[in-house]
Amino acid sequence: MLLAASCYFYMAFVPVYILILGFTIVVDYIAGIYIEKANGKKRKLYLICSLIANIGVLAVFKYYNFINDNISVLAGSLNLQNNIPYLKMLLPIGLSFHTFQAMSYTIEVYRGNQKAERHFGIYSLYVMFYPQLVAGPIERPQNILPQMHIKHEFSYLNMVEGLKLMVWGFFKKLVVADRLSIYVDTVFPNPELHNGSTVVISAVFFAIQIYCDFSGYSDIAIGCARVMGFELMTNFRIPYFSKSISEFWSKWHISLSTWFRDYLYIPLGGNRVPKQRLYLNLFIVFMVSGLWHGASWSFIVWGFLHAVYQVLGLMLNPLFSKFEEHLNSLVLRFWFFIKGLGVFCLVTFAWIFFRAHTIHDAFLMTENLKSFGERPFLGNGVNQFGHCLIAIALLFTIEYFMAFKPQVKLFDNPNSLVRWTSVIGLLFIILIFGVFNGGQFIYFQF
Amino acid sequence: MLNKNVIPFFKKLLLFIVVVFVVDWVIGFGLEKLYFSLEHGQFAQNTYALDKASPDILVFGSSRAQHHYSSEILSKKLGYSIYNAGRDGQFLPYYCAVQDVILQRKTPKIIILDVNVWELGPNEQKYAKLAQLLPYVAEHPILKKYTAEISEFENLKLISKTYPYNSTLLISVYDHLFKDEQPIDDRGYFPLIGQVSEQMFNKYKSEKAIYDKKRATQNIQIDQHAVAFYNQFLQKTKDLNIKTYVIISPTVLKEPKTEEKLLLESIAKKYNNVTFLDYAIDSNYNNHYQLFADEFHLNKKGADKFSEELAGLIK
Repeated sequence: MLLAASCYFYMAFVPVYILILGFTIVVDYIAGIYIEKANGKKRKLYLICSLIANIGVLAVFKYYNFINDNISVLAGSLNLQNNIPYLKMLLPIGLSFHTFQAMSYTIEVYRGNQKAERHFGIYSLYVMFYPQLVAGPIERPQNILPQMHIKHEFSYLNMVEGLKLMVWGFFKKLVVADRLSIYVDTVFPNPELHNGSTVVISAVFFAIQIYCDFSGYSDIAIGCARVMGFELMTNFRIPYFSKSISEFWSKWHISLSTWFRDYLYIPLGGNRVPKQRLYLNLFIVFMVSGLWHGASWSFIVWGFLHAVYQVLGLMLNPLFSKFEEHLNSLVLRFWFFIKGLGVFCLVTFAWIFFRAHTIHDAFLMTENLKSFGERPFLGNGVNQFGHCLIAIALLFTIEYFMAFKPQVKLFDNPNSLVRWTSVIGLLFIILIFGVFNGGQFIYFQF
Repeated sequence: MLNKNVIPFFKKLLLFIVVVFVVDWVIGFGLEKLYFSLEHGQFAQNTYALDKASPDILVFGSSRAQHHYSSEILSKKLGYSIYNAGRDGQFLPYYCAVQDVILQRKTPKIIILDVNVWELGPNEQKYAKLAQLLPYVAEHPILKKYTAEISEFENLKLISKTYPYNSTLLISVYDHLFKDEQPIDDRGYFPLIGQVSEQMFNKYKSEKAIYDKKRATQNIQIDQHAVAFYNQFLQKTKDLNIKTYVIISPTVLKEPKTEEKLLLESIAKKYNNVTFLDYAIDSNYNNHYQLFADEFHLNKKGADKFSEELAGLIK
């Protein structure tokens, strides 16, 4: 029944694309069994076949036109003409997510950490489980497959906790992300019209928008799965309160960053390599991560920037540690605040490249930063901008308590009156301040 | 056998739904009172336009309509009563909705429709902004066909008493607290004070040059739904034999001949009761930045000049 619901959910977008999903499911299901049975080189061969099938699907549907674009540019610079036709089709929704989840299955079977799944329906559900099918969390087979074999009894606790998490996700999406998107969507498509102050505001708004959009979706997905008795992995842990870039990445899109850690960074040598090689590994991982998000140079630059931040962080870390040893607790807290602010600024700067329509637009926006200080564009009236500020204030106030004052419980308060008031209060904040224009989730496009 | 937790859960869920309905009614009632007691500001103008306005001359459009057509000059010169129903950031679907409601009450002698050059282009906000009509649906059911444009289930959401006042609380409170500081409108018209400096004008010029160049290379899709609304608006004026002026009011920089702009003109010319006027290419305004308060709007001096000229032409 869950598999049927998942098929229906996926087919609600572009029905025929279920065939692509079907292809990778069949290939990986068979590959899993063969990998488990085989020994030595054959085992590796089956894994490679599975990876080629998965990456091949990604290459055709996601990167073909990008590669073709670059061939055209290269050919143009050599006065040649590129006659390779372009593919005119929509990108299958959530392609990168379910492909990575499928790849993690065959890799884990190859490594011997997971038994090959013999039940085709259960394996299909592993790839297609609808709460996390189109935007993650990208699950590992060890966590989710065993849960799909057991019967899930109705659980009062799971229902209530799952629903509460979903309400929190809807708050992030409708009150914060969709509100900020109105401003962001006005500024980013026309960077030539906006000064430095506006670029700064729109970049900050986008930083918060993408966090709330994506972590909001993750909360809804995790909550929805919990209602049905499934425990999905945590995908975000209040990342904007991080004091370093590496801490940020341990709290942002955890299911993807751990995927890259386990299946790319560690096989490249991880931390147990000379420094130069370590830095190169970081550049490879982050630039591939950029490319995972989208077939465009702006995503690669975004990944490159994060790699630079990571390398700089590694270089500066010993200095910071020594410096922090000499600070008293009050000054140290202020220093951590400054570090947190610095991390937020760096991450926000990189988001400009992530959100801009083209690499040219992104550079134009960074160039416009020179006019910082001019009167900013405030959107369609103070009402709109005021709502953005209210949304941000509400988000950070609640998250501050979640991160630093966990003893202040609202949604899990033992007193039922406080608990009910908190949940109903949040519902009405959504109803009064939310944006209900059916805005799509940003990460669906990946 | 039914799990022993199922019945307690659904009992609590039922109680929760009842509490939510009660709270919804109480909060919705409070927001409704707050909204409809406003005397100044955009919401009060919406209420006046939809519930009371019945003038001889009706002006429709966005903020450019609101700031460009002096009620005093047009009313005095033409000898008719006037109301300016221009609203900041709105588009054709909104003008059609307000036209439908007002024309149920009264048939005006003249309608002025101020259109923007980007009116028929794609814009996701065009329909979302019809949410401003939600507080009036109960009183004017004709608006339901417009609010249905916001989303598929929009009218279903009106089961909630709070939902129609979504995103109104902040401005309602602001307009109540600062009611003495609100600029007073003259029959819907708001003159803008201030003047574009030469430096700002040069900045607009260079930005616009880049923007126009970029637009020229883009394949802009005409919003056929907006075209249908445009035709609906003009057809209604034709059916009621109302003298109508479709105007692209003055712009500080000359607007290029885009497909959207040409379409605005060609459609308007199909209706024999409609006169189309394009001031976006008028050298009396283009580059005369002293007549403008910002990149998009005339200041009072500019609006007076334009209204005088327009009144002379209509007369």
